[in-house]
Amino acid sequence: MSFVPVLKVHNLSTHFQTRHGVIKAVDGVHFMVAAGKTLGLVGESGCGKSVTALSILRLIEPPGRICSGEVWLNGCDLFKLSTKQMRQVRGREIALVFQELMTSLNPVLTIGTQLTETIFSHEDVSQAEARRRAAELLAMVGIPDPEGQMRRYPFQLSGGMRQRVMIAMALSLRPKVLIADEPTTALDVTVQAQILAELKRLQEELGMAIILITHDLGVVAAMADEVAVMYAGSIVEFGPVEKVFDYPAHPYTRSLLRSVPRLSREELAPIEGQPPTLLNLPAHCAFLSRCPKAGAECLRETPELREIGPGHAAACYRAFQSLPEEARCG
Amino acid sequence: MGRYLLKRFLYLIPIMLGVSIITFALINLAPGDPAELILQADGMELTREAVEALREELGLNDPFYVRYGRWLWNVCRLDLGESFRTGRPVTEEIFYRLPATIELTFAALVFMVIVALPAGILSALYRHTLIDHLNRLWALLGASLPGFWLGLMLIYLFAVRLGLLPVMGRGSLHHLVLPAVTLGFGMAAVYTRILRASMLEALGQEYIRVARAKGLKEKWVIGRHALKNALLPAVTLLGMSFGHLLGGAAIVETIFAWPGVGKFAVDSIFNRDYPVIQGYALFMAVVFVLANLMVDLSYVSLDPRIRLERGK
Ligand SMILES: Nc1ncnc2c1ncn2[C@@H]1O[C@H](COP(=O)(O)OP(=O)(O)OP(=O)(O)O)[C@@H](O)[C@H]1O
Ligand code: SF4
Ligand SMILES: [Mg+2]
Repeated sequence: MSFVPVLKVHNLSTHFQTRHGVIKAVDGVHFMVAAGKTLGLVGESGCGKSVTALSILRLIEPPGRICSGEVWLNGCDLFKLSTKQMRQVRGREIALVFQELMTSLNPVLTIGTQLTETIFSHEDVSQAEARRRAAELLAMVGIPDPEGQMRRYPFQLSGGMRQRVMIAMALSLRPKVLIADEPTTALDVTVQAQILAELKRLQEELGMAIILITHDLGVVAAMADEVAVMYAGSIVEFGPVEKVFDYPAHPYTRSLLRSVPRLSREELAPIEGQPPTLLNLPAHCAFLSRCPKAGAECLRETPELREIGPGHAAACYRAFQSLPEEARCG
Repeated sequence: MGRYLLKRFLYLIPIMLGVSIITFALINLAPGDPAELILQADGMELTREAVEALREELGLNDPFYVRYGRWLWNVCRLDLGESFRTGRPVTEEIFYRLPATIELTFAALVFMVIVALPAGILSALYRHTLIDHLNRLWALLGASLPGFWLGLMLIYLFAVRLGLLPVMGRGSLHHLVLPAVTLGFGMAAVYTRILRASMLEALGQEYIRVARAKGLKEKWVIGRHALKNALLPAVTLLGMSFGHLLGGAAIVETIFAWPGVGKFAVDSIFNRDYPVIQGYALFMAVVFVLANLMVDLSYVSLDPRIRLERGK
């Protein structure tokens, strides 16, 4: 398989220092994504998906801190860049579509201003040229009457329109990597389908890599090439979508799949037990208290992500045992 | 917009009525007889007859409602009466002194903005650092030091000891410095706190993160995205503060012998110059309402949500 990663995240850890202790929101995360491909990042609410996205762009603010790790963009470690160099990466090389679409646009600036300022801050273009390109972008994401919309303020736009604006903004400099954090969760199903189709089309047109953060496994099945399953701040399974969905190796992935009606082959079952608090994580596998497959060896130190097939890895002592024969030999 | 303005102007009527009745009643309750004071000032003998005659002439013997009615009727004809003391029309006296007061208030406002804007922003950006602590200290001082005390201290330090600035009076720009600082000091402290809080609030919003993620320069993120939102609460309060400044101007003008409307009003209170006190109160009410209206209009231009809602 030709897999040249454009973005590679290695051993990323981001912790929050709070009054109650250290929250290990992201704890030793590994994954990569290739140009033109889509990686789905899935996991329960609070498992650290958004913090991972913000960490990649070094947008973590106190009390948070990136404690360790490397983020390689085409062979360049982002964590070694100066503030100024990092600013040039943001928006231009890696763009982020934020989760909170109601609060992500500045209420007192027009859509046009917020679009053109992105272009201005990276390229030396005239006002007219920037506006022309902004209008083009709005048209590209399927917004009718782009010129008119540019004079409007965020509160005058519907949720779907705002999300399209956010996507247009993220695409304005043709980034190599687009990180889309729950880009469609707050929208109704038809709008969601439209926007996802639009993203797919734009990806082909621009050849960019997409990291699609979501807890909707249906969206991952439809959009992603690879999938990374996150649990309690770590990646517990990583691999091509067909492999992971058809032959889930980690018990958490299996439970996750079984909780989704459309994808479940077995009887529908919610995941038992409480999601872990990221405060004072145990030294053993974080899924232990909820794991139906747990055994004595699981009380040892936290399992590492191990290759269990071509491009397929899982962090579980019993991962092999849950794999069917044909998947094991690839 | 036109209808909105008309409505705001119509509000002026009940406000002016209320203010004038209250001032009338308060004057009525205050001890002291203007007739006696006028005769004293003129060096005349205080006989019972003379006082009575003057009271009759000034119409002070009529019942409260008659006097108020007469005054109101005159006001409707744009006549605020004549000063007991100078004999000149009250309107003329006020307008004659108005430029001095406006100059002082405006200077105080400018001082406030020059100090509070950077102080508030820096305090928010460098939260919990030395800058922030110093700002907090002076905000506490500014809010708790009485204006007259501060004025006297400034005079002592800068005018008497250092001889850098004139002690009192109006004239050059130098004359303006101490009164303006005295008047604006407390307000500057208050606005520093307000701006710090609203700036911190704005900086914590998601759109700031988005702006950074777009790769905008930090000064752009702060100066445009955060500041424009952070100014909204401060601007709302500005109207009220203008009233405070005008009120404070009366005291500061008296300390610095600044020939403005405020000092004139204070003198008139000591002299029981009823028409002037009445006229001043009414005039201030109008100025206060107009200032608020202006602030509201600028708020509307800052916040598109309000502007466009109203435009409909
Ligand atoms: N500023 C912060 N201070 C303290 N803890 C934080 C902060 N931001 C995030 N966290 C913690 O980090 C953890 C991961 O948060 P994150 O937003 O990444 O979750 P998520 O996977 O994106 O969830 P969701 O699906 O709900 O968006 C959470 O448990 C949260 O408590
Ligand atoms: S390591 Fe053990 S406890 Fe953890 S997921 Fe695997 S089987 Fe379950
Ligand atoms: Mg999130």
